[in-house]
Amino acid sequence: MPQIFSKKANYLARGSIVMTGVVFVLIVLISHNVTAYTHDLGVAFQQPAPFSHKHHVKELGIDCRYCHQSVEKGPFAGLPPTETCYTCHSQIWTNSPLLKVVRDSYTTNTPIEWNRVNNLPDFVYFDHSVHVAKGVSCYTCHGQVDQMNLLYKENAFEMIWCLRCHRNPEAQVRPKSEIFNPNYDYSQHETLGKQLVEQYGIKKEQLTNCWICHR
Amino acid sequence: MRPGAIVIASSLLVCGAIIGCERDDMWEQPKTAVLGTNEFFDNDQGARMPVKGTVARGADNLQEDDLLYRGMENGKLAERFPFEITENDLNAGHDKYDAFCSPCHAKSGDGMGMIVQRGYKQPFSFHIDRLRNATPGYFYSVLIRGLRPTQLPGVKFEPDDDKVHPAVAHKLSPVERWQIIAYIRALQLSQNATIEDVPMEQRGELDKPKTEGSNGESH
Ligand code: HEC
Ligand code: HEC
Ligand code: HEC
Ligand code: HEC
Ligand code: HEC
Ligand code: HEC
Repeated sequence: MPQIFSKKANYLARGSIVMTGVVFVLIVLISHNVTAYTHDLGVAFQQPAPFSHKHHVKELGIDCRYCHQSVEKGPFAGLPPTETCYTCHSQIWTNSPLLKVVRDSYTTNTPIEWNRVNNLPDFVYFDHSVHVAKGVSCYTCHGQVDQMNLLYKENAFEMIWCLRCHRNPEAQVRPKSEIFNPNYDYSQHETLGKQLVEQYGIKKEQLTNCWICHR
Repeated sequence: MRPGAIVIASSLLVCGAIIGCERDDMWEQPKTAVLGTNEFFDNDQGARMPVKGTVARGADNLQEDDLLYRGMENGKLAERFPFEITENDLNAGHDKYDAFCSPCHAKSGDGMGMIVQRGYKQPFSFHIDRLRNATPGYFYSVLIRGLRPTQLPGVKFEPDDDKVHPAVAHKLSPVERWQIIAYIRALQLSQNATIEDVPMEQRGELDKPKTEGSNGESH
């Protein structure tokens, strides 16, 4: 009886063992590190003016809504018009070279072109107001903005990331009064989360439907 | 097949799979995003400026309700609020006051907010007599027209007192502005309160140390 496996089979067997390893490593890389890399997570974005959230939010105590005032009212948080910077900077640090861009923008009436940090693909629908109204904090999605000098991306906003919360909002929703609290304590959240989901009337069973985000 | 060929072929397959994941047109659709650019226009600005003389639909100054939208009643600064102020209004006003007014006017209303401490012009304290006696309509008017507006019918001020208030009103709806004013009224009362204003049965509470952690509290 001839041999079932030819001599080549040895190579095949060895080759596939090696390839299994290679593919495995690649999968791990792609699903973890590469996400951070391809999405520029944690990389400070260069901006026309070196605007610091840490300085304005943490040290001066300015509320997010002072500059992103539509965040509670509509889909977009919005970026502040030059006028917002200028109300303060017409009197504070008026000669700072770091603020030349702001002054030029104000005097020539041309908007400052901020580089977008977060950008969902155009086929995804997102709405800030519903999240803020149902107790999801800025810090849950954008990270410790109050600690950032130049802003960086904390989360890649991939589908799985959104779904993780949409499947289990109990773990993340807070009381309304805690939305702007950077140091919210989740340690006693177990029962409170469930209560809040009920109180807000969050329709959990439909939150993972495709049409919620792709419409 | 030679072993080398197998390795090369499978590597190509994996590379191909990765390259195949590249973004396509659905990610960046040819539409103008909010605050985005649009090369069709001279300055690449997607959001267009309205033509000169455009009247915004539903703009505040087109509304009939003089009291709610302009703080006026019978040609004079209103002496009352346009709606009854409930506890909810006060809470909302508190929240909005802290966000939009406290950087300059301070949480207590004394005019020494953080920005003022860094060199911004200091406003008068809300707790001086003139402002405690000012009507709700005066506060509303400051927000939308500026300080001591001479152009108002029936209001007398020195001509050179006419000043613009730093731009904040456009961030707030008329109802929100009134809620803030109601909260300022509450601040004024609280800062000028005496022990007589505290109900007998609650006076004991004042001596107790403050308790921490009001987490579960919602507005
Ligand atoms: C004094 C004004 C000001 C305040 C207060 C402020 N921001 Fe910003 N924010 C800006 C400006 C200007 C930009 C654009 C420049 C940049 O990205 O750093 C921005 C950008 C952002 C972005 C990124 C937008 C993008 O491109 O995707 C996020 C997220 C953000 N802010 C969140 C917050 C949060 C959360 C708070 C409150 C904790 C806050 N901001 C308070 C002015 C402000
Ligand atoms: C509510 C008032 C306020 C607003 C609004 C505000 N700033 Fe500031 N900003 C300040 C103050 C106060 C300082 C300086 C604080 C200090 O003395 O350390 C400052 C500092 C800065 C500095 C550092 C200047 C230097 O020379 O070190 C930059 C840059 C700056 N702001 C940019 C902006 C931009 C851009 C905006 C608009 C998106 C803005 N600010 C809006 C109050 C404000
Ligand atoms: C559920 C997650 C989530 C929460 C909560 C959230 N954001 Fe965002 N934010 C996003 C996403 C996603 C984007 C990108 C939107 C896009 O590209 O269309 C974004 C974009 C932004 C931008 C850029 C401008 C814009 O509107 O696209 C700003 C500014 C911002 N967020 C501020 C805030 C502030 C301030 C808060 C808290 C009041 C907040 N966000 C809460 C997810 C969130
Ligand atoms: C931390 C929790 C959390 C995260 C993260 C989150 N969401 Fe949500 N989302 C909610 C909650 C809570 C609601 C309110 C559901 C309700 O009212 O029934 C909601 C509602 C929505 C709605 C509105 C649904 C409707 O009925 O109109 C959209 C759209 C949405 N989310 C998209 C997204 C996208 C896209 C992302 C990722 C970028 C995301 N969300 C991330 C918690 C979250
Ligand atoms: C909570 C919001 C949310 C829901 C619900 C949701 N998606 Fe997504 N989806 C996203 C986001 C955000 C992205 C963009 C991911 C990224 O930027 O990498 C996305 C991307 C995609 C993509 C493109 C993937 C790619 O890499 O090209 C497909 C296909 C898709 N979703 C299908 C679905 C289907 C099918 C469902 C229903 C079973 C669904 N989605 C439900 C938020 C959602
Ligand atoms: C950027 C700083 C700043 C912010 C924010 C601000 N104010 Fe003022 N406000 C001032 C200054 C400065 C003056 C005094 C102006 C003057 O005398 O020229 C003033 C004056 C006033 C006055 C008139 C006081 C008088 O002497 O008659 C009222 C009322 C007032 N502010 C209400 C508000 C309310 C309500 C808000 C929030 C919605 C607010 N302000 C937010 C800086 C600010």
